[in-house]
Amino acid sequence: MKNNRPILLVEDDKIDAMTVKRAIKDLKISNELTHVCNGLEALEHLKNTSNENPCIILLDLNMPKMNGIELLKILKADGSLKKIPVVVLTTSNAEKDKTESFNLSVAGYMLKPVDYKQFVEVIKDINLYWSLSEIPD
Amino acid sequence: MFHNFDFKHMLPSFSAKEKEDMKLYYAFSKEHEKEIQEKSLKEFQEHPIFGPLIKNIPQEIREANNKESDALLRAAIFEDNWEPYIKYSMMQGVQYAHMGLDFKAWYEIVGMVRRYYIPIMKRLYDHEAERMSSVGNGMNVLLDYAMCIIGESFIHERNRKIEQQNKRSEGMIKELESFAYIVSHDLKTPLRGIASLADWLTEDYKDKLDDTGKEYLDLLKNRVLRLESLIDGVLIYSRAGRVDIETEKIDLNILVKEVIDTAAFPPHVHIQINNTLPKLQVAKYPMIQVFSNLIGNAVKHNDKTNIEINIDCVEQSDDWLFSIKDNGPGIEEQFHEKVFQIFQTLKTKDEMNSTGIGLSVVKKIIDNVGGKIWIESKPGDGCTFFFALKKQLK
Repeated sequence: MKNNRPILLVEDDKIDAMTVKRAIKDLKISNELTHVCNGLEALEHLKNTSNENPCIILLDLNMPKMNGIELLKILKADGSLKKIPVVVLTTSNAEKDKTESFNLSVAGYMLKPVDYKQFVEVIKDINLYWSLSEIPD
Repeated sequence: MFHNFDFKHMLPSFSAKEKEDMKLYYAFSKEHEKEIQEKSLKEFQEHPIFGPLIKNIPQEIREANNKESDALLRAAIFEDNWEPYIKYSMMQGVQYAHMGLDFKAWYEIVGMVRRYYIPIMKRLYDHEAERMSSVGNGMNVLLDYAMCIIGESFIHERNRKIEQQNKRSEGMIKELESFAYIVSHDLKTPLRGIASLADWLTEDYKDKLDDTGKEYLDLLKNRVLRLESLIDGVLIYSRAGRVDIETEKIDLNILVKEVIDTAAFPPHVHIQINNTLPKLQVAKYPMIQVFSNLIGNAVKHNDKTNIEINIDCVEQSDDWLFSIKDNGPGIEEQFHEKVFQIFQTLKTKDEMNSTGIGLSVVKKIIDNVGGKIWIESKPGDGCTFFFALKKQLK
């Protein structure tokens, strides 16, 4: 990543969260990973001024309480939060989800592969891109 | 449903003068009936609804119908007995409605016949022509009204049913889509968990696992990947049935070349396209699936060191006949239909890494456009997949 602020992972599936953590460790990415389990928890975390703003948000779509799209709508309507790049990380290949996400200005949309090694590749590519791209403070 | 219909209030009452006019008009139309029929025959035959109707109903039945209707009309005009005629016209209207004729088309036909009558009337009756024609019109309006009153209620009922059906199938498509979504998301998430855990066990505990343990984990991962391709396959299969995909004019020469290029087969695979393929109005992605599955299968199941595949297309009177011929092991006749069923494979799934979905998707796509697919093959002598697509695709 371009800067050393934490990565915020919004993900309800325990093993998927473990997979991302492990991939980050395997890839020796130095950013800290903050994990929350749904949109509501993410919002609480982001609104809490004692927490540092993340460099990027990795967002699952299908989650209980508040799903990814609902969270995106709130983030993109919030003057101080809308600049944080959000990369969707989901199983959903549905055109509707892709369109809705990009309409809500996501910075990327990645499918979670079933195979762990491919999953690592996906995280590697996300990291590479955000090491090259500038990120707003 | 009409046996107790009250006709009394819709029976016309005419003045003596009107009755005379009608008799005159009847005599006139009888006299020129043949002439008008001959003149309008071609137009009738070419009419999109009456044309096939005339073709499908034998002449003797049509003549008998005309005779009956004429007898009833005579009884109405000359004996003032209108009820049977109106009843008959109503039933005729119902019959037409059943045949799919709507009343706009009916008025077109009535108007057409009138067009042929008017010049004759003008020629023969000159100053009386206008009056005659208005009598004719009056009678026709009566006839139209009698035919429509019940026929239209039929059409309303039919349209309502069609609308209901459309709504139901729209609902089913939506349900299928959400089902597909649930399958893709909710089945894959736990599956990915199993795959990851198996991976981590292999990696983190490699010193503690013996060869059998490692083999079990490999088998476990292999099953997970197979289940993943099954899930993807079921999704493709369910989407293959969609009828709402937009079609476009596709040059199959380009499409098939793209399919072959994308597959990037090894150099011992030789694929020959022997004729110029047609340009068809089709949905692009399903067409890609058809060719890529058929060509892919021909390569995948081939047991020769030199793989030869020939693609042909022949124009027939109503359709294009495509064939994809390989020099593989062939398929025994008893399996020629079975291979198109979903989840059916001829070899164990481990051996071939197949899901048994590919050909069922191909068949579904071709069935959907009203085409046909079949196999010709003798074991040991290669296999040819034929499929015929209508020139006028659904």
